[in-house]
Amino acid sequence: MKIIAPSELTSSNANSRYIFLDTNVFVAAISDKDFLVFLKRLQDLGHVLFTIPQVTYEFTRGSDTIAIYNRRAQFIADIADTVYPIDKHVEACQEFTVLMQKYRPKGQYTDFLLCTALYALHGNASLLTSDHSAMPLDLFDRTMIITTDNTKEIQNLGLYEINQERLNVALEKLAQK
Amino acid sequence: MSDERIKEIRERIYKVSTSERPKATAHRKSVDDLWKEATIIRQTFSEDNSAQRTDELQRK
Repeated sequence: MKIIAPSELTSSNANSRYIFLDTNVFVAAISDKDFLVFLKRLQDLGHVLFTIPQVTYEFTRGSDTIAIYNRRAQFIADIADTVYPIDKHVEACQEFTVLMQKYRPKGQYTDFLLCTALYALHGNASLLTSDHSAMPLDLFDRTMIITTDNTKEIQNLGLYEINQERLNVALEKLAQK
Repeated sequence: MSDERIKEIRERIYKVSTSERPKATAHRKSVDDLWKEATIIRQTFSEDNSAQRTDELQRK
């Protein structure tokens, strides 16, 4: 697999980031060893990989035995440096919940929680996902694109971050109504 | 089913441990070990008829 990623992320002097991983990233990691190597390289460069419990739920969906469930859940825990308890923070981010209801009214709950995690961490975190439709660009920037090419298909993953300026405008509009 | 039996089942299930702080680097597994696990997990996706599901997740 060929992986094309910006040097701001992969060079030895890249600023370290907190990067949340969506379910599709873990699926990519079980599908291709080169992608797994890429994730480990990010960690070696000082980036910290996060995920949330709801991603574990999605990744373990369809497990029909305890052994299969355990193996999949353990895999998530082995890759992620932490499984961030986002549920505890949702109540403190109610204004963001309303914004997400406005900009992604048909969004999936896991995607909403991943977005909320970026908000809860005050813009100090990024989200890596191939589900671009889940990310409202009214509130987020796609700051980087990582392309994977396994000869069968080309996939683009986006690294998303809160756009503080647009977020402030959106919050201000919310306050006025 | 008795509470004891349910407790037995619960004890066999992997507990997803959440934390706001990252674990130490030393606790990370090697790529080769992870890839061994990934290979087995990929097979479980095909066995539970979720090859299609894997594609769906990847597209998501």
